[in-house]
Amino acid sequence: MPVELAILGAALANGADNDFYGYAIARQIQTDESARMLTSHGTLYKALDRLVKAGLLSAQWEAPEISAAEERPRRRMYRVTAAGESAYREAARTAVEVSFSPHEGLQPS
Amino acid sequence: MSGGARLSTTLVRGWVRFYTRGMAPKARTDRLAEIESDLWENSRQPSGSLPVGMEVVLRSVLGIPSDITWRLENARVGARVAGIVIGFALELERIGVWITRRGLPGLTGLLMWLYLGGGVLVVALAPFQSQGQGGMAFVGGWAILAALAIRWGRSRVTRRPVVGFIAVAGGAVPLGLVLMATVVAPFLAVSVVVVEGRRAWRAVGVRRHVIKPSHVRL
Repeated sequence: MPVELAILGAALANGADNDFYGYAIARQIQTDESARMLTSHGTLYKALDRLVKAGLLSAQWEAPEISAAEERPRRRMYRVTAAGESAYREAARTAVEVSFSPHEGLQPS
Repeated sequence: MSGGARLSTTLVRGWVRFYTRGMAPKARTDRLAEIESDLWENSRQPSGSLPVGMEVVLRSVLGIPSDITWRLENARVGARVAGIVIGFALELERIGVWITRRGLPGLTGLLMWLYLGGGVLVVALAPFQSQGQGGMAFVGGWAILAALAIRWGRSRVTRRPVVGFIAVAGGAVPLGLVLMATVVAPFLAVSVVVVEGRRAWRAVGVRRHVIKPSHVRL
């Protein structure tokens, strides 16, 4: 599974209006055995960077007061954009069409 | 946080500082801050399947190829120069395979001296840095230990092939991976593993065919 698709899918499963940060999405993706390798630092943050540059995610650093109050480093918060949501739906629909087999019928992927 | 986890996070921080060096300031500070946040979260909420230190190192090491390609994609030099660098690296790799197939024992000594010289230099320069002295001293110390392991292993490959080979590979490869961006270090590390692996393999074969004194009838 492409990591970008896995990220969008995991983020949308939590609701399109919910913000998420890198490690949280890594933990969520880790539950899927086939995507476990995708949670390495390099793979994950490169994919997030690409999604932001493509306009499929928006990103902003959280307010310093929040992280200071919780005594932890600042998180970079991401949110799926409308373009990201429609791109994911389109990719998921294409995946279903590709998995169609004339002998076995439609196999949802 | 355990000692192992602390060591791992120091190692990962050092690697991120290394591969983001010379980038546009915003891209660099964003990546450093994001990894810092990830390390903090990872140490507080580990996945549970591995010790935290090992999980952190594994997540970093598995992402090294992506780190390097991301670095090249975001390089100020542009795609054309990045393409030339990648092409040069692949060519070096091809030459390395050619050399190691013919066996060039000098490579092991060369890598050992590179690690030793580099390690001593980095340790000596660490106190003069305004920040990150701990990380520099750690990498320098690691390089010195790796050089000693390579030297020790090489001197034993023919007598104790397995132990000797493990010492050489253990000294050469992990640091070579960490120094991936230098191209030369991983190239030499892989070459050394092939060269010393062949020596160890030959030594194992010789030992199997040695005639023990008890087998000889006088």
